[in-house]
Amino acid sequence: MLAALYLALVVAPLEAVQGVHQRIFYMHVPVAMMAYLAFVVVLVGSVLYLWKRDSKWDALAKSSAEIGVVATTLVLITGSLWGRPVWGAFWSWSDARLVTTLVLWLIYVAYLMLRSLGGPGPRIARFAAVLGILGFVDVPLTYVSVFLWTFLHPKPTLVPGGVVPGPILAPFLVSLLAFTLLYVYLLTQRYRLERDREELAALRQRLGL
Amino acid sequence: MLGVIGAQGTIGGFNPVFVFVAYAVVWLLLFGYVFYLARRQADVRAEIAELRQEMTQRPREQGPAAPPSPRREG
Repeated sequence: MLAALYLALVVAPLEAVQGVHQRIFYMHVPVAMMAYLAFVVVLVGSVLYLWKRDSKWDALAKSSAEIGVVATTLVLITGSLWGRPVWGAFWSWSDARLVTTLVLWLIYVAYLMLRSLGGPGPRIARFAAVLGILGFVDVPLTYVSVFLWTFLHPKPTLVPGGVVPGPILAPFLVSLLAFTLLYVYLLTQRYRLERDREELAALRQRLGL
Repeated sequence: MLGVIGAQGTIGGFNPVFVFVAYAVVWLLLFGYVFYLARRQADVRAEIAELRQEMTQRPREQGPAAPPSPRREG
């Protein structure tokens, strides 16, 4: 993470049009990819839970959803802080990428609220798994929104055949790796916590507490 | 390199305040989340240890002890 920070703030060149504001890119885009990865894991965990009915898959989906919400919150904040100096506004309801990202955040906040308010048990876990699968529809929609409706957001340049200079690409790739590893670490910790909570609930039940 | 820091706190003519706030928010929120996870994990594990201890004490308090399990020698 420190290497990514150093490369993004010190080594990466100053972009000609956006200047220093373009450096937000090195955090904003990897965090967005971390959020997408988290929601892919929610999808996989939810499908496997409905198929196998094993609580470990539900714990994986729940853990990843929480990290996804944290990452999407950061995407919305850093995006607004990048948009203000470059577009002249923190937010625009006309931009499809912004709106679909906000909808994505709301879907998974609803998922976490369902888990929190619904309490433990297989019935709520099943509902949450269905929401986790249906909610994922917004992930590809968010990605393709810039191709379907053009307003403020630029089209992705980090695609095969895209034109990104090496001095910008290298710090970005280091940052992407750092955030991917951070996601794996956070998921491991959050998953362990979820399994510990299940064990605690079982112990309480055995003791009649 | 980062560019020339101008007289009015600008970098190459751009005010870096939004960049600073964006990086600060990301780092603070992520560190806050890691700290929150570690604390919750410690609390849950402490409670599990407490309940396990209670479980081992209960049979002794509640009634006659269970017959000893056959021990293997050697």
